[in-house]
Amino acid sequence: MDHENDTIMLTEEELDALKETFYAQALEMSEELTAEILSLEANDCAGEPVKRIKRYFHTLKGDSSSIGLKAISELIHSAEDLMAALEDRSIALDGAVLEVLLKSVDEIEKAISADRLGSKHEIPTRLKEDMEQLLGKARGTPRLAMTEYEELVLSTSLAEGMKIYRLTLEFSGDCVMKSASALLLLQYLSSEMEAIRVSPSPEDPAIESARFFECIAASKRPAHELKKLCLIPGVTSKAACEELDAASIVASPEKAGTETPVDSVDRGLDKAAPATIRVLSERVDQMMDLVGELVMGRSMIEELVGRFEARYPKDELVHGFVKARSFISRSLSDLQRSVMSIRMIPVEKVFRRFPRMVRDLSNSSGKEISLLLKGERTEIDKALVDVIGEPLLHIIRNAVDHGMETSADRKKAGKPAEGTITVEACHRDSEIVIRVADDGRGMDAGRLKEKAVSMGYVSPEQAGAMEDSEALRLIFIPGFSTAEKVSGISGRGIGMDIVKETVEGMRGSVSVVSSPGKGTEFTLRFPLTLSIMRAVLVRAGGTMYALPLGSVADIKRVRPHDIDSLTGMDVLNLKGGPLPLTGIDGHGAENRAGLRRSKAFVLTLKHGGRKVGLVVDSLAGEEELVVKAVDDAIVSTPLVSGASILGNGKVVLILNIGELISRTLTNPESLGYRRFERKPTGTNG
Amino acid sequence: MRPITSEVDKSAYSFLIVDDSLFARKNIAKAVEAIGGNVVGEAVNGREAVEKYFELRPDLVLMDISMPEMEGIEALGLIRERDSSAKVVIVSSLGHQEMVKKGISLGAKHFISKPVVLEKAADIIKFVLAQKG
Repeated sequence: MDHENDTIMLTEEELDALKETFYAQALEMSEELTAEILSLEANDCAGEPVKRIKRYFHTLKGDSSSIGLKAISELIHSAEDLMAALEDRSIALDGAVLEVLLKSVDEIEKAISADRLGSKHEIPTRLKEDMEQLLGKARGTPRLAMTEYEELVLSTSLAEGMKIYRLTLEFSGDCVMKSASALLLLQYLSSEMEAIRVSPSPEDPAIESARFFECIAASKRPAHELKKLCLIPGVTSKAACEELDAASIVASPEKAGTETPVDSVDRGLDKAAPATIRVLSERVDQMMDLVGELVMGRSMIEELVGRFEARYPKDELVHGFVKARSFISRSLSDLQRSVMSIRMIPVEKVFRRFPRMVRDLSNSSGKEISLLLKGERTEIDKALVDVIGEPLLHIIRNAVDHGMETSADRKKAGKPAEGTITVEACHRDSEIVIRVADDGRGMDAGRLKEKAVSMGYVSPEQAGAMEDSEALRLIFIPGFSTAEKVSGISGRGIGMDIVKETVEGMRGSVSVVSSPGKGTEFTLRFPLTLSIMRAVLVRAGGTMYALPLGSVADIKRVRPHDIDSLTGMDVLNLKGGPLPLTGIDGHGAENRAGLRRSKAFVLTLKHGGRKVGLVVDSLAGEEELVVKAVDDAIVSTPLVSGASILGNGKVVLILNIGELISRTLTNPESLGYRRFERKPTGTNG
Repeated sequence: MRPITSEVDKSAYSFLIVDDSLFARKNIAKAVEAIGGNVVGEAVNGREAVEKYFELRPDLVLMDISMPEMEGIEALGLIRERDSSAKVVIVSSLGHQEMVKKGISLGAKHFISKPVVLEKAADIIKFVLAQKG
């Protein structure tokens, strides 16, 4: 036994203790294994027992190789292959297979017991040979292991009289960008065949180093025609097309014959759209949650590897860890993207409700209104689909009710009699942007200010100093927009404040622009991914906070003399003009204190076209965070949009950038609103 | 290099070449000339590409991906949106595979990678022109 070569430094006692644990556990597992193997049934080799057996084997293999029992781990490796062959039905469970599996377990037990007593046990060559023979047989009969979905597509295609082919394509020697090439090929063939399985998948990074590309497909075309279609210059140099015997592919025909679960689905299947699969959304959510947990796990590993690296900079193992970490990191990002893409649904699903509503509303209000929908195919997260319908409906209702003039008024104003409401969705940067625009009468900033003053939200002086764009945001103050009911249409109790709240609840933002006589436009922005985000971590006043990376435009180190004071508000003079500064608790004491010290950082935060600088004490790095909702009862400020757990196990609050900026710039009460004035002379560089 | 026969020159196919680099435009034009094609227009950004496409209605567009003002992919999308029979071939450097894939899903007929290999580019162009609609 070559324990001496082990790179892990353990004392003799530690090693002995570890080994004793292994022996006990291994013997226990081998007992379980025997029982499980005996319970295997010939007609079900894909169920739970097989999974359990594989798991046991896997654990045993890892453990035995780490204490130096090489021969055993090799034997188990073969046994695992055999289980895999059983599972994908390339070999049938018969007496010989059972025998070999059971004997393997016996040998494992013997070898472990021998090692425990300090002696050595040779694994009989006979067993190894038997194992090899079975594995050879399994490899010799390549049967396709199909997923349930693939089988469904297959049986549908067969029912439609298609033939099943295996296309083996060789990438041409000058083929670059194989992923794109494979995609192109599938695109060309999509009208001629139904691809059932593609390997490697165009999304698999391994495809870049692949020479061949295999596709199982159903088609009505004869083989030689299909083969010819597969030859595309710059992509493929050779193609082989082999027709597969349908019976050999559709596994377990007895199952399909009697209870016919496949058949019944087949009959009910909409032939026009066979390429989709329905999944309960909770399952997808669950997957997303698990991915979230994994992301958290990755953060932990990153944190630990970082510390390990710092402690043992010269250790070879460090390099291995770092490599393993980046491997996990990459795969996890891919996994995250795939799961995300499952959750994406065309926004059409939300938009579909609008035409009917606009028609009804325009009928009942006697206004002529047409609805223009754009970008319906834009995909958005499913969670958003469930939530944005209401706020959008409300904005549209408002537009019909308040925004649109009657046809007569429109004609008088020189506009077309028919008003238009445009609802448009698109992806911009890492955001989903949804616009609702009308060409109605627009909002009157002056009247909004008057109303705000009369309702006591702002003082007349504040109103006087307020710019029109800021005045428009007054409609988001709770109670403001619902205060004056004009008609029964919008008066359904939800006001613009609820719209804002709902949108911000999904980490989104809402902004409005309007020009009198021309119309009003609401813009809703949401992050593409709702549950995971990259964040910048900062420290301020001894507390750690997280800021969404996407909203940080710039980070600067500042010294006290960089800061100016404009009518009582601290600003940082930049080329583009003064940047208003704020601290995390709003404004005032905190950031002043920060600036007294010689070192402070200013993060330029941007949101919906507005910018402020956030003063913090220090930067603490960048991390991928899993966003968790925060209970309102615990954190009762809208300044916090969520929380997350860092790699080191600490909880961090995620700041709501939109709210932070709004407060800095416009919140009249808490901030003692001040308006910027241009500096009289050139302190502005 | 094997001689490139001009199998398609009888009908003199028309091409629009889109690239912000003059050198790149001249270079890809060689591939067009090699098959006897006719460069009827050039554009230096996506916006211009869309305008010229609908003005000239070329048989094929050779579209660079990264350009100022409007990226090739966006232009490709706009062209295909209004003319679903438009034939666009992406010209891209190796690092832009994701963009190329996006282009393919938007209906690009093929892609040529930079640096352009004349013979290969000509093969690809001929192949795309031979496709129906």
